Amino acid sequence: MNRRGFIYRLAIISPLLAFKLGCTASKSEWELISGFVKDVRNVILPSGDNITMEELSLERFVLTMLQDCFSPDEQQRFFEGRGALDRYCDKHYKRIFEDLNSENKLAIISRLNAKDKEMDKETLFLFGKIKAKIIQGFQQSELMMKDRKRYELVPGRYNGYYKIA
Amino acid sequence: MENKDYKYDAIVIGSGISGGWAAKELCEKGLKTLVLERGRDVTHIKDYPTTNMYPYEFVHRMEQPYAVKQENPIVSRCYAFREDTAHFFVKDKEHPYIQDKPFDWIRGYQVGGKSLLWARQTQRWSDYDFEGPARDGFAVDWPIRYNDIKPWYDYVEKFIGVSGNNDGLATLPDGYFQKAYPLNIVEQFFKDRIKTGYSDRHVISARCAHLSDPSSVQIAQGRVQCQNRKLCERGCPFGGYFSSNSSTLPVAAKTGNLTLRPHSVVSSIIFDEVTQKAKGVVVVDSETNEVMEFEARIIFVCASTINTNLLLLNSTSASHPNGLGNSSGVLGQYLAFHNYNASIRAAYTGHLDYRTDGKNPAGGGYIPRFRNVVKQETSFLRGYATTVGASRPETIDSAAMGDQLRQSLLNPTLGDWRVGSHMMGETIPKISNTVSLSTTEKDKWGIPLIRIAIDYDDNDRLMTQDYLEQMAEMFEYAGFKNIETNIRNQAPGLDIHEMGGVRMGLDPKSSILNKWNQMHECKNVFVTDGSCMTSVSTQNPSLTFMALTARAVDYAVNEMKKMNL
Ligand SMILES: Cc1cc2nc3c(=O)[nH]c(=O)nc-3n(C[C@H](O)[C@H](O)[C@H](O)COP(=O)(O)OP(=O)(O)OC[C@H]3O[C@@H](n4cnc5c(N)ncnc54)[C@H](O)[C@@H]3O)c2cc1C
Repeated sequence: MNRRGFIYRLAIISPLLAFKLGCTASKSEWELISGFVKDVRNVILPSGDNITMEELSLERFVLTMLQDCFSPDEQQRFFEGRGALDRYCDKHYKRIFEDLNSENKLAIISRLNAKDKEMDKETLFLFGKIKAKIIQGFQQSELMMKDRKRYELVPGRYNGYYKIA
Repeated sequence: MENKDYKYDAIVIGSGISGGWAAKELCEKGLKTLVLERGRDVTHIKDYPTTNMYPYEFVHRMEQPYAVKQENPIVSRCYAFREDTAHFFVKDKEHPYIQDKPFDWIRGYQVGGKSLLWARQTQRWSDYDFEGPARDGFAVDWPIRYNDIKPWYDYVEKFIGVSGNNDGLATLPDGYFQKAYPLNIVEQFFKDRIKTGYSDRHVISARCAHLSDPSSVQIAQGRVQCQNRKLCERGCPFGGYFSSNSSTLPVAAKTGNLTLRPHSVVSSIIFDEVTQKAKGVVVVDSETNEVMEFEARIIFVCASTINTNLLLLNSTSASHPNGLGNSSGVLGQYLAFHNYNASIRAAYTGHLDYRTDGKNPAGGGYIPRFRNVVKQETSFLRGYATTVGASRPETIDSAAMGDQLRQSLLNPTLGDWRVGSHMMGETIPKISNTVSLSTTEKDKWGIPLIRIAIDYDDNDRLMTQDYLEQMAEMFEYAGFKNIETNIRNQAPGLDIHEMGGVRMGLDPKSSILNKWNQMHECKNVFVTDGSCMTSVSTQNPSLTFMALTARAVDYAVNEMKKMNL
């Protein structure tokens, strides 16, 4: 696990949270973020309209992008944002985020989505990136691009005067 | 050093846009031709591994991971360096060079060179361009005029296939075009507005080396109509755009006269003191490190601008102690590039009942230079051409979540039109814009590293400002909204149009090449890539490199027949 991140998380938290975090200490920062990505995806882009989101592996794509396409500084902000999320949950619900029931998770994710000023700015940063990548992953999924023909590998045409019906 | 006594009629150094043309012309004229290419072989279609991949088949959806960008800060600044195209670009650490001033040197070292990667924009020069240095008193006079090159533009366009309109503009001569990719409704609207407000400015369909309507000439090359994929930099399985790989090199190979040798780094040209001509070249095999020599009656140097400068500077002999053909001392000086340092964008809220369908490989519109064309009229010399493109992106409700977000993604709406342009300015070749050899550092084959000292100047800054003012005024006149101007602060080089250093000229005291791209001081060496350019004008340069190459081969072979070479 990311030792620095773990110590950072322990440093500024309540005893209860310290205990809880002690229990989740086996989880790396990335595992915690991965869990958060799953919850965010569930709330932000749920299955429906005959689409089973789980089949699109969006969470895996989001995590890959967060891990590969951001700078160490940005990733540090992810870890801090994830830590701040647990502190926020501890303060308001006396639980860390992953132990919240789905109703409370929904409430928090809704607040993040509304860019609620009460939320930590690094948590908002992390959430913003996760949401953007969920949207990208969905728009660029095989389902959307190929099956639903949103992308054409071989358009074979150009019409600069396409009248919208 | 081993001399295997490899003898050819002609050697071509480099297999990119210019080298491909030299190879085709020489082979078709019956010369046994050896093409030496430092990079690996890339066979048309077979070696385009990503060409048929969907975006979701790339781990990072074509974005370059952070680590790759960190490892490669220079090439990462090129818009075309992506997860799907990276294999055709030189990575920063593979081939280091010394930046005495910031210079983004973007390279493709493989068979085909950068012809696989280029944006295919192709415009002819006019006499306003060739007469520029003489009229405005910079560099030296071009030894040729439009009429000298016109038949060769015709010849090249008919072979490669260029789409465009004959627009009847003195600044941008007409040519042999396949049907143009038309402007879209907003680009056309802009064109019409500009026509009513400015007599000297013309928005035309971009001319580009795509087959909109292939002729029998291109069909015979095995190429078919462009399928509007706009995935060109991966290599096109249709041969829809021109590259050496899809066009000139296979045609050269068909003659039976071509020997293509990849992994062959030419380190110098050998000068024979007795004949006072070049005897051949020294090559390092990049796989085995074996050093060998190849001989030929004539040599075409097409290694691309900076590598050609390097090679000639490194070709020293008793008669040419400062580099081959360099008694004048101007070799490696007076380089120039294109000033791409500003762009502008805006929104347009008209024509909202229209959108585009499919893709335009030409990219949209083009405005040829309108500043200082007939006479000097601004505080800066020369001028700029510009691109103009309009598109109608889809928008989604990105603030939504849950079912609402999903439905928004499934049913995106169309936003306003977005209109954009960037400048392509002429820079003035200056004695201070140089490339030279490092005296201390060498590459892994023992060849000195090149030092690059090329910079913007006040003329470029004044021109950039003028572009932004004029374009903003034109956008405003057209009724575009939310106009945003942007100075890019990009280093020279990122335009990927570096030119000069081995310039053509009338006088051997101030130039390296004569009007046939032939070395004044070493008659059997011809240099026909961008290094030969006396000035750079505003047009995309590669069409001119191709025309000059074909013209030079014609001259060289005639001279050989006359036993002058
Ligand atoms: C993204 C991008 C967009 C572009 N857009 C346009 C455009 O729209 N219009 C336009 O006109 N131009 C454009 N260009 C520029 C265009 O690609 C170049 O002008 C053109 O390729 C130059 O041709 P060349 O033959 O001189 O060099 P290259 O095509 O680069 O070929 C040179 C070849 O020589 C080889 N070589 C180098 N040194 C040696 C050596 N010592 N020994 C053996 N071989 C050697 C290289 O490996 C390479 O294969 C663009 C370029 C890029 C990368």
